[in-house]
Amino acid sequence: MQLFCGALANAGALEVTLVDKAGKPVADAVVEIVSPVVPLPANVPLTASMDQIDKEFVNPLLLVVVGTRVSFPNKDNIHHHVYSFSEAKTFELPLWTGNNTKSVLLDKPGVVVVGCNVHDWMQGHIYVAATQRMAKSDARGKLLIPNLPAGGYAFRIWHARLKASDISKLHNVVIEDRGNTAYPATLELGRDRRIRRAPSGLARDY
Amino acid sequence: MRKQALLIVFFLAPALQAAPGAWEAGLAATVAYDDNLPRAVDAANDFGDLATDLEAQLERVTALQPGRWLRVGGSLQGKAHRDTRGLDHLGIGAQIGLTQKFGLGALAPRVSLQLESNRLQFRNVLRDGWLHRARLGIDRRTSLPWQFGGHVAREWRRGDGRRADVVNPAFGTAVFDQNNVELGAYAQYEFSGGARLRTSCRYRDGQTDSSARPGGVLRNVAQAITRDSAIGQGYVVYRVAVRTLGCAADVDLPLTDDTSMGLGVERLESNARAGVRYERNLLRLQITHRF
Repeated sequence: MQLFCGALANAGALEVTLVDKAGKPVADAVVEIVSPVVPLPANVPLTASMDQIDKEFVNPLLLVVVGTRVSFPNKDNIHHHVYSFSEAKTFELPLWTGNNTKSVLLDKPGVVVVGCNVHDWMQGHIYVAATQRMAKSDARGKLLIPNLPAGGYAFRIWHARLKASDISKLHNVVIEDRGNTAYPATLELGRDRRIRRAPSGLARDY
Repeated sequence: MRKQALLIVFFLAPALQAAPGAWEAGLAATVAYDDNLPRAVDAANDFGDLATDLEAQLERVTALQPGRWLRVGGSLQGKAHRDTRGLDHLGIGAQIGLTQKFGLGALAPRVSLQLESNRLQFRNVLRDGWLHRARLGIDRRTSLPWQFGGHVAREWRRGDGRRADVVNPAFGTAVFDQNNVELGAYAQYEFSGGARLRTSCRYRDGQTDSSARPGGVLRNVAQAITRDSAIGQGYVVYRVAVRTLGCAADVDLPLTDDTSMGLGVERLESNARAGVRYERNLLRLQITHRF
């Protein structure tokens, strides 16, 4: 996802390909260019939503810029209770069915981990960036950040299962003035630790 | 108590339908083997049998406030044995429960109080009656993989007393009027991928029914006796005061987002007065689906 449109002349693009230690493509990783910093264009959308359907966050990885107001429409016919303990934003929103009006202003860069207090397996991430120059990897492990003037850039890679020391690591690349500059990377991911949704007997999970 | 329980559900349900909440339904199918079905004391009287059990639950879950839920619902259950058909039964029950979560998130502890009342109808009417239960439980996930919990429960069983023949005039025939208290605790580990391993133990103190042919040691500790027409074969069933310790291990695997399969074993050791004791081993396979 890129937050601006319109191609620049004499600009290239950064194409990052991500695999894990076993060589499998890594989806839902985020690359954000942290240097040089450019101000946000005036037309960057500052509203976004993370829907809840069938007891799941429909878009479990949302990319927004600082200053975006995010709503959590509850499209189930059941109660949800969205919350976050993250340093980037702490909040809780009890959400009756159909409630589309409550929203949260994300005013600090960072990652907001979102959960549901009713359904423990529900988990989402909101990546709040200081710049619109970011993208997330697809099922093939690929992402593209276009419209980058030629020059040197530094970027970070984030993934929910990446260690903090690897997230803070800076990657450097020189972008050509046209075409895609490829940057392959191998990520060491931790185990996928999420609470499972399937019930254990008819004993209640909550 | 049974009429009050059903009336509570009957009148609460329409009111709760209007309140914000959701319907939840579940279905569980179980195949289980019990190696000492009559709870007999000696090898001459014990025998094992296989049973299939099907249970359906429907509940209205209402959030009274964030972190507090009220559950009102009912269940239907049917159990059929391979050989001991007299113990086949149908059950219909009503439940009401309150759950309070202390804090936000998956690691917040939960306390639950549940009251239920069940009507049991057996193929052989000897055991027909009511089973009421009150249960207070606490559950706490201490990390994503680890969860612990415990419960205390009180049970009251009241038999209809039909076909309860007098075997010994010195004893009453209300074998299936039983009270029990149960304490339990468990530890559960969830692997990445969703498989769960649970170990649990429970301690029961109260009354149970044990069946055997006449002339055994059970008569020395019996509180009530009647002919066991459900098992037949000349068996007599005794109400006995026992203390039981059972420990179990269960493995549970997710099949889909809303379906799981579990395999479990439980060993129960029961002790009555005068050195009377018996053991049971249970093996069960269960498939559960949540709608």
